[in-house]
Amino acid sequence: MNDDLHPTIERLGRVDLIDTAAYDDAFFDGLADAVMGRIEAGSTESKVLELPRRRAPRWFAAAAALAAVLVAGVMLNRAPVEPAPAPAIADADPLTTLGAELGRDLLAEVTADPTPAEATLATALTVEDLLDGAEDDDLYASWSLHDELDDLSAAELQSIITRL
Amino acid sequence: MEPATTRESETNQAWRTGDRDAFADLVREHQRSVFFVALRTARGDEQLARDVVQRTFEQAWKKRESFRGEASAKTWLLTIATNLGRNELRRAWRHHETVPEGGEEAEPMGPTEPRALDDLQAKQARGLLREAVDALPERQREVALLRLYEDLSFPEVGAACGISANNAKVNFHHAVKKIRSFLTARGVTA
Repeated sequence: MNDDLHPTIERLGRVDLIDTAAYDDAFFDGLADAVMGRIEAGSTESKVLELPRRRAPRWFAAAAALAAVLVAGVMLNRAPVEPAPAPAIADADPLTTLGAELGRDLLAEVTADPTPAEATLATALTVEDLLDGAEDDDLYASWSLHDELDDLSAAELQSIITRL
Repeated sequence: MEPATTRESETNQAWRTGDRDAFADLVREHQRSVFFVALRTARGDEQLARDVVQRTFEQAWKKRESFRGEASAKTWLLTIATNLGRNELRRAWRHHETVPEGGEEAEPMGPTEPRALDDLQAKQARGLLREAVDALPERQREVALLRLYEDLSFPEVGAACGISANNAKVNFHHAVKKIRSFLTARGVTA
């Protein structure tokens, strides 16, 4: 960090964006009560009766899985080559139509919003930002693509790789 | 990352195992920091900040067993609050909701000689600085707020924002330079 920024940082730190003095002990007493009240309420709502479950032996689960695979294989081999024609929307019952509409709405909403990875990249530093002041700061000597990638979460990386 | 203090570790052990009284102590100890971070992030929207505080502690309570004590409880709570505040702001922007500016607009300054930030009246300085900070990109804004007003270390700021300490330092550097340029353009030196 440049030394000439330190006086600026000190001055900025002295001017808070909010008037903290406007919030007294009574305000925070009330806030703490509200927080603990919601936690108490949440704990009460989340109490569920846990019924004892009898677990089947492992060999039974393995046998059931094997049987399911065999049945699926047989069904696939017996399936017709030509796919069955999709039922016309007009023939669909109201519930199916409603489901289709909900699906379209959800898809439209998902595609309209930026994904987390895109949102993160959109807020990342621009090249101009990185170059700005680079001459007078040795911080950039240690900055690398690895650092940028290191900042991405596993989900964001997965999203980028999937898109590529 | 600064290790949790001994006293904090002892308290953590109690609330992590479901001790509500210990958790209430945790709330009272850190709610001011969490609220003020939320209030700055929410650009002065008190209702939104209160909601973020409540949800922050609710999440902390639900995920108390996942807290490993590597960072301080304050850093952990501010991480949750920063993420929730960011999501709330994005949601507000997506739905074109109006986020109040906190009622303190920067008062217009006449064409006078440059004045120091320290010489301005508190309300005027606060309004001007808020404009400067709000003009920053989201990441730089978050980093600047946590570093300037919560005095977190760069590793702690990085942890709260989900970035490396080095990245936090670079973002803070750019944020301060942009704020200074913003103020200089308005005849104020900082």
